[in-house]
Amino acid sequence: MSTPSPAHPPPALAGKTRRTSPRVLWADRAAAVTITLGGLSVIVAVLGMLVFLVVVVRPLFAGAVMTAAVSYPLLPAERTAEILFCEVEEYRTRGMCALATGEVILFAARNGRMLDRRQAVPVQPAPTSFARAPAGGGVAFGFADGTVRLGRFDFQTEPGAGDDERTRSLLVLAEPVPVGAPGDAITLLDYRATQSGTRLAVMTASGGLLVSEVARRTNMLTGKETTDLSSTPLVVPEELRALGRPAYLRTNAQGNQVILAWKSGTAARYDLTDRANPLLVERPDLTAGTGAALGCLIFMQGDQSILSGDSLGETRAWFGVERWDGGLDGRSLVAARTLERHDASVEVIAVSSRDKSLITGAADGTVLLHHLTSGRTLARAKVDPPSAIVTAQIAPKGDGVFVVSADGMGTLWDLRNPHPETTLSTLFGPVWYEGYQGPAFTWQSSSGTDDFEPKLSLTPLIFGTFKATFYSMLFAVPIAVSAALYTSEFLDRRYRAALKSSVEMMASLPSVVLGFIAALVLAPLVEKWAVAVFVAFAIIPLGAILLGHLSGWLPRRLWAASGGGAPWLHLAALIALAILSAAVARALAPLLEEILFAGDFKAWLDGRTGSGASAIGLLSWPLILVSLMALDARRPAPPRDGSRPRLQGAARFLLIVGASIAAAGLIAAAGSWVGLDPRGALFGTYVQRNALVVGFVMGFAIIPIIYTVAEDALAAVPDSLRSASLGCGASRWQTALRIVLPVAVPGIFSALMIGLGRAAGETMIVLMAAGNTPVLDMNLFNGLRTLSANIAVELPEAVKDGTLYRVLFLAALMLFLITFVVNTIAEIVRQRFRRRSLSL
Amino acid sequence: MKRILPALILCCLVAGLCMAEAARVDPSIPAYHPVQGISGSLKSVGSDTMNNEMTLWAEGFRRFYPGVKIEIEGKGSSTAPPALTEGTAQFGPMSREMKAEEIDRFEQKQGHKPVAVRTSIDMLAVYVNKDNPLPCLSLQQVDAIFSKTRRGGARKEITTWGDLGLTGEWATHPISLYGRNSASGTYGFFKENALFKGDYKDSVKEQPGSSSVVQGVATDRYGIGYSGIGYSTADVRSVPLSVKPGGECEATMPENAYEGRYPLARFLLLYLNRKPDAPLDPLRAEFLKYVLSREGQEAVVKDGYLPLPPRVLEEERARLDIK
Repeated sequence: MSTPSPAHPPPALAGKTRRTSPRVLWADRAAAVTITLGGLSVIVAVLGMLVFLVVVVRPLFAGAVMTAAVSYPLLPAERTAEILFCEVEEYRTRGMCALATGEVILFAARNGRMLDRRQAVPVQPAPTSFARAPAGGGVAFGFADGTVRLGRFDFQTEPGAGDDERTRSLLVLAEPVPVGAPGDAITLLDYRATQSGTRLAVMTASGGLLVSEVARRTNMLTGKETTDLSSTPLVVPEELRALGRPAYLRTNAQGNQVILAWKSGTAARYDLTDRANPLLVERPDLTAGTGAALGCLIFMQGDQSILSGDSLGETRAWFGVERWDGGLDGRSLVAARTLERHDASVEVIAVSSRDKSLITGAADGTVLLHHLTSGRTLARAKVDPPSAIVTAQIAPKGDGVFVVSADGMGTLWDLRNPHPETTLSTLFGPVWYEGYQGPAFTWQSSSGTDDFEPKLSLTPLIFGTFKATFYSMLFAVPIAVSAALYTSEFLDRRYRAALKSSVEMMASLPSVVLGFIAALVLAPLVEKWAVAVFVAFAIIPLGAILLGHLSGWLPRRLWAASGGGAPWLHLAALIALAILSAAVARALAPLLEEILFAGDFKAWLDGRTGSGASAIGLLSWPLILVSLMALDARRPAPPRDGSRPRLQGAARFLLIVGASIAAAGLIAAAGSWVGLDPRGALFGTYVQRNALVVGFVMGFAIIPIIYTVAEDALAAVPDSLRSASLGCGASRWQTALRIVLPVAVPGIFSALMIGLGRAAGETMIVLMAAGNTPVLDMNLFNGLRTLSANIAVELPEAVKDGTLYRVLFLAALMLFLITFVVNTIAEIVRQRFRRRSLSL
Repeated sequence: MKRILPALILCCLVAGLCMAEAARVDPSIPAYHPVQGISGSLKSVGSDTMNNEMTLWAEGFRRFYPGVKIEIEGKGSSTAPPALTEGTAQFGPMSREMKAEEIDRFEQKQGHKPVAVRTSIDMLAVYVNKDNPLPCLSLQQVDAIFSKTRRGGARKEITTWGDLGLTGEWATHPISLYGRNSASGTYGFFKENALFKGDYKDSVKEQPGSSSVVQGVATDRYGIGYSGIGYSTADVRSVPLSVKPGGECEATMPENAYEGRYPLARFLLLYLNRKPDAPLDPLRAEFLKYVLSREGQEAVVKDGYLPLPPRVLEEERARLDIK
């Protein structure tokens, strides 16, 4: 800085040197060091925080690793065709295979050593079909004589025993139940068991298709179980029968969706929601018209999607989406996701029971680990020597992959797959989640079940943060800045200190109290008086201006007093005006509601009544009014001759208001003629906890901050500038607006930025008042969820180092970056303004 | 004061009568007998639904053992597994069962699986404002109101009260949805059983506690929300539910829950870390004994939930090996 400051005495005095005492010098140096250290440690702390956040967040974007493969000969190659399923237990020490001959073998999963081999199912009659429930160990065998035997397969672990005896496999079968006609072999079978009952879908050799279910209900008092058995026969149309024997039959756990598919990819989807009236709703082609042959078909964990693998190496995930040209239930199966292609035909698909991961195994021995939500391939591997994959499994805890290939080799990999669901595109981009109509931005992080697909899009939260900030600034900035201008330029100095400290007291209100008031008092009140609130918004400032004009009517004595220093008169008049405006607003509201909103504001917002014209009018009116007033202010000022202002001003003002209303009406008419309707964008369905309430109350929190800093900036403008301006004949208003305000702009700008930072990071108010709905909707009357509120709500449930935990830290990092960018821009702009105003 | 007192007494009597009708503790359940030498401190982290229940149990327990310190935190069932896993809490009250993934994490750290104790029964209720005339809802309708995926099979989304057959001023009003945040076991249980594992609409206003849900429905005339039966107040009404469309509507009456007819009845669970083949430490054993005693079950009734039938209590005591 070039201006001389008192710290450095001008050279003229240098001749008469006095030595500074060493104590002062020492203290000076110590202070300098301390301050430097303090400043540096602030920077280090902030950087440290940033580094910490980045370190926590980083693993989200690392892929999965499949390592430490062990492979061993398990079965003679010619017997692999007999395998029904093979799997390892949750600790990955034992594995078992069930064979079509009814034999069950148990082996050590690490080296393939055979531990046990037994005949679990009688050979006569031979099982003709088999199904395995995805969870809970349920199995079902169908026989040539038309009977079905349900059973449970389990590994039994004995904690005390030695390593070799630790685990045994156990297969318990219930008595045969006749399902088809005697002698009508069961050719296809699917079996689901849940707590509330079991579902069994059966196809017999003669072409009969049947879904039977057992619903269970327990009486808690007596412990008695009531079972409810029902069967629903399904009809396979003649033209489908002509395709030959179907290859796949699948039912979901709820039992209301059944899919029958042929090798050619033709499928029949049945809807059993109404058990008395089952419908064949559609016949999709599960190879998507490529002419390939289906290699496998399996429900994804959670039964929302069905996965198909075909001879061209494609793997697709299908789920029901509502379509106008959909099946009889209004939906059609859509291949919403296509996973990475294999070079050879897909032989096996296996799904994880923990998350939405799945593996596909192909005829060339390659194994891919995919994630359904993100669609990315997490890991890839190949069995050695290459041989077609016969069966595959993701270990129960999701920490291993086990496959058996056609040459009889078993291979077990260790799997580390901590955060399969997060990629940049699932975190920020639209994702087509299971069962959704199309790609969407959704935040629904967790649930009480394992088969839930976590929806971790940060976009609605970032949007919510900006929305809350925008509406609260919209409310707070005009009030805070004009209050600061009034206090520094017009209010009598005697009252200034008292006023300023009382506004600052507002800032000391804890935000949780504000949030509480907002949610429980203000939200219902605003809902009840919504129209009146808006009318008051318009009437209070207009009334204040009109009051200014009308002051010409005051008796001469009072006028002189008010002009010359009776601030109580100003204050009393303004308070009276506020009360009067509120009353007028309340009285006017029903009338306006009738005229503008067809009598019901909320119904109008929903778009149920009225037209969009009033919305266009209401949006354009303030703009027109302000521009007309600005135009009016540019006309040459009347000569100041010391006489009382005439009533001409008031009339002029009323004329402007009238003209603006008329112009807004014209624009509204034109807009609605063109067909514009802003409802649904800026306005929409009224929700009680909404951005308007948040804006109000957050305004309370940030007005004092903006006010204080802005007032300081205005008060710091040198009086010489004011004197010069007034001396040149400008009015106080002209001086304030054209001289003081421009000079104080850097200060006011930093006031706004401090307010903005506070609003963006504010947690408790939005948490309590905003309804926490993660919606992407600019609607003023809808809720929102901010990054900070989301962290507060969900951190307690996030398991340390889990995916949600890291995503919440990512949210924190986002907040950090937002504040960092805003503050940096603010500082740059402020510096530029400062340089400009310094040059004044 | 003279005029208020009889009114107060009357109120208490009426409330008492209602309570007595709501649910009763079977007199055959043994009372709690205190033992010597119990001291120490307990911490419980978990369900908000069970928060008051835990508080009542803690108060009752401390009447026998004033030296015992009990700290209770209830932000939601999902906060229980991390707390138990990290060992920061001895008890984890949960209004849903632990997920396999949560059990995995616990097992990884502790070497064995956690133990769940059934403590009481809740009827997860769907609440509407007291002025709402809605007679009944099927689970499918509940799904169509709250869920955007509608896995229950409903063909159309339900957005206004008119879609549910209400007439007059209700017909055109949109339904305003209140629910819990995802940390809640109630959120998870409702999602699993009423939404058929589907997804909530984005417009469900997520409240940090069960009482705020009820509060929201009480102040919002067109609101609907769900929470445990223990949070019911006079300003809201629980809607009878039917399992299938057109099926029998079951009100939130105790016998409906006991006999397995009310579709959203559930056990409220208390999870704890218990080493297999080792007895529980005396402090936790006595606390559980208290919870499963007549006094403990009376506290359940006091909080508005349903006590366990003697058969279940016996089973739990036998399983935990506490007499």
